[in-house]
Parts: sequence; C-alpha cells; structure tokens
Amino acid sequence: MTSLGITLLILAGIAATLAAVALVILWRHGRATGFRTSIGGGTAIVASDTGVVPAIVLRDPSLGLRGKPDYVLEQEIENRRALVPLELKPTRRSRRVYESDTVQVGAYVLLLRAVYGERAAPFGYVRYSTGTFRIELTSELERRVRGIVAAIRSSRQAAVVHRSHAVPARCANCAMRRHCNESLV
Amino acid sequence: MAIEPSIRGLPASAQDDVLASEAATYAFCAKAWHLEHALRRLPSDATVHRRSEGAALHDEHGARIATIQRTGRRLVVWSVGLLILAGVLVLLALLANR
Repeated sequence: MTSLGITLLILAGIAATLAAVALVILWRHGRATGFRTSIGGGTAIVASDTGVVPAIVLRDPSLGLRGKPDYVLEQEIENRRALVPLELKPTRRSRRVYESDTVQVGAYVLLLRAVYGERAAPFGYVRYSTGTFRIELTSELERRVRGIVAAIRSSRQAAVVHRSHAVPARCANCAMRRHCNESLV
Repeated sequence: MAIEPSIRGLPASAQDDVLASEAATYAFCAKAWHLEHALRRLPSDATVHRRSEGAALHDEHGARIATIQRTGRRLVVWSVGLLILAGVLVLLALLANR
C-alpha cells in the first residue's frame, strides 16, 4: 500500500472515530433524558419546569385543580399535533408505574384538557430512571382523580384522616412515618 | 416531585386549589397527605435529602435537554458529514493503491 493510501485510511479512521464519539454522546444524552434528537418534526417542548423553556401553571377552576408539569410536549398523534404532559421521577427505579404517579399524570392530562381542549392528548408520560411509561386517561382514572380532589377538599379541615392502604412497603418509605400512629412497620 | 406551583397572576380562589402533586400524595396514603399538607408536619431527613436529590436531578435533566437542543442537530449533521468523508477517504485510498 502506498503512503498516500495509508494517510487517507488514517484520516478516514479519524473522521469515523469523531463521528462515532459525537453519536455516542447524543445517544447517552438521549438515554439519560428519554428525549431523542430529531431532525424535522418530532417532539417539541412547549413548557418545562426544568429551565429548558418557561414553565406553565395549569388550572381548572371548575374542578379546583392546579399543577405544573415538568414538561409539556407537543407531539404528532394521529395526524394532529397534541399536547402531552411528562412528569420526571428521576429517583424511581421500577418496572411498573406507581399508583401515585398515575394519579398525578392523570391530573395533568385533565388540566391540559381543561385549558387547551381538543389540543390535549388523552395520555401523559412519567419517566423513571429505568424508563418512560405512558399513562392513558381512562374514564376510571378520571373518576379516581376527581374523587381524590373531592376527598382532599373535604378532608382539609378534618382533625384525623386514616391510612388508606394496607401496604407495609408504603409505610416503610413514607415521609410522614415518624408522625404516623397507624404505620404498618 | 412536590413543587408548589406559583399562584402569582391567578385569582384569589386559586389558593383553595388542590395541587396535582398533593393528589399524588393522597393516592399514596390519605393519612400521609393529611399529616403533610393539612397538619403541616415536617418530612423525615431522609425524605428531605431524597427530594433535594430529586430537585438536582430535575435540573440536570433540564441541562441535558438544553444541551441536546443547542447542539444535537449540529452534532448529527457533523457526524453524518464525517462518516461520508470517511467513506470518500477510504475510496480514495483504494484508488490510490491501484
């Protein structure tokens, strides 16, 4: 092989290595965030509570519900652009979605629907460190969220509210365990 | 993450709103919600630590997204360009050896 050929191959190797390094950096960022780099349409970030773009406070006065999703995304869904909430739970490592997160994302979907009507998608996302989950706003989840909102409102002045589950693991991980006289652990 | 959304610019009635994060706490346990949100009991040190860790990870996530937005497309274009260049250089090397 000529020296020119060898030089060209070395340059080709350097170019390919630089390209690979750039793609690995992007892949690692994508894996860490759940967001991919897109050229063209794809997903747009409409609002964010993490400093990427200004946050948005959503409010449904008729339900008396308010919230600020970590992200509001705009995605192409069934040939239309729809708004989707995404909630980050970066310290969670689980293969299934926690009930509390389902309720929170369901609340955000309801809020987006109240504020943006048809532009709201009928689902949202929750992202754990182990992956992203899609949560559909079923009629059952909507009832659950509405029921919780009503229960909270009626319980605010109550002197005592009782534990609402029988799961020892919840008590073990509860932020209020030291104040609780109904703990299972 | 339980971050209280600002009520600046919202009507006074917004003070009675239920927060989405509050609803999540209630779904976890009604008593835990009552102790934290109605009786204003302080969370454990471990929880405070976990929440501040979560807040830091939120910021880190935002910083990564900002990086992707700022440089992502440019990196993809450069990568494709470099791969094409590498291919052309290999072809030239083969031609140079004929």
